Amino acid sequence: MNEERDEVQWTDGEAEDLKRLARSEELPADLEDRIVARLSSEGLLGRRVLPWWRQLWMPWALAGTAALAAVFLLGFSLGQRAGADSAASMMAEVRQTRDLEQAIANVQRTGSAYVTALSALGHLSAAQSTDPAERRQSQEVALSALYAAAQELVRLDSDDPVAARLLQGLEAERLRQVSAQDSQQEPKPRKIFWN
Amino acid sequence: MNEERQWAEAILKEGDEVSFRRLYRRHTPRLFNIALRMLGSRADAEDIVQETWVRAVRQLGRFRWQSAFSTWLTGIGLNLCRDHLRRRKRLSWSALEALPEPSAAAAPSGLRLDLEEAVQALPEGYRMVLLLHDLEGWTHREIAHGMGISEGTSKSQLFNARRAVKASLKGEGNRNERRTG
Repeated sequence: MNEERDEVQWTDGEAEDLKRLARSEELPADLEDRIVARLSSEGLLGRRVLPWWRQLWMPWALAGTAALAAVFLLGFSLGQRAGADSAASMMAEVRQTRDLEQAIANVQRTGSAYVTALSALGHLSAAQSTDPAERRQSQEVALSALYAAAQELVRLDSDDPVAARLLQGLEAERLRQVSAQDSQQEPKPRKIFWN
Repeated sequence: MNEERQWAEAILKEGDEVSFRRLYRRHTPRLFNIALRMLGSRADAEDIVQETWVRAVRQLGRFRWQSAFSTWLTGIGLNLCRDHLRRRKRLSWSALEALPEPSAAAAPSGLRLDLEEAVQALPEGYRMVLLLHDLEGWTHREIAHGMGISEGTSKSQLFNARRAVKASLKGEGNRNERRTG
């Protein structure tokens, strides 16, 4: 009562009454628990406290996971790019070959690449596809390359019995597939073309 | 760092219930008392106290500790009281400057009023300043800051509030004298 105008002051009796008025009313017994429950329900109280080692571990784990993901994506991207570059350069090299020894070496390299690709195709086909149509398509892709190679092999030496028999067998299989498709009379578009 | 600030930090960082209960027990009796005097209803006062604490905990991170925690907390509670009273459509705080003279706030004749009833019968604006200054010990500067009014308005409201209470008590005394005389 130090800043108010002087005209109105409390008497001693009024001041006593004011002190009585200022005394706290009794708080409702359950109010505290009700407020705590409300704050807890809003997530403002009672949050789980992690031990110090987990508080330290969490950011590191997140950072580590992010770093691993970044390294994986970078490696995957570089690998894809390198693979594409390698195949492109290989094809260019094959087309520009003028030397017999180099041509033989190219066949050996591309043959190894074909077998490797065929192996990967077999693994993926077994692991990722249960659809018979998809598996048949994978097989056709592999056979079409083999068929083209057999044709070239026969052209290389028409008297070679192994090459002739291979081409003969593949040709018979191709005719059987064409015949089967014709008998179904369903004009399905073929995805694979024999050379 | 004072203990109230430590408790507040624990609430903010860990949602620590024990720290909250400590703060609650220290400040709620006065908060409840003010709300009760302002609203005149225990049920309303309980609602206001609950809402005050919820808002206070939500806004705890923004409190800069440049004033007392109790002042900040009471300010939140008083704002809620003001909103509550506005909803009752009794008084708009913005109309405080245009409040009627204290004689208009005097008790209706024929009613016996003690000090508590006289205070309760005051217009809300008068009552709020009177409670804060004379019961809670706030300075006019604190009232002005907490309520968003000028110090002059706070002083004027206090003067008018005291005069209205005295008029009510005096009028009741005169009526009692006339009855016995």
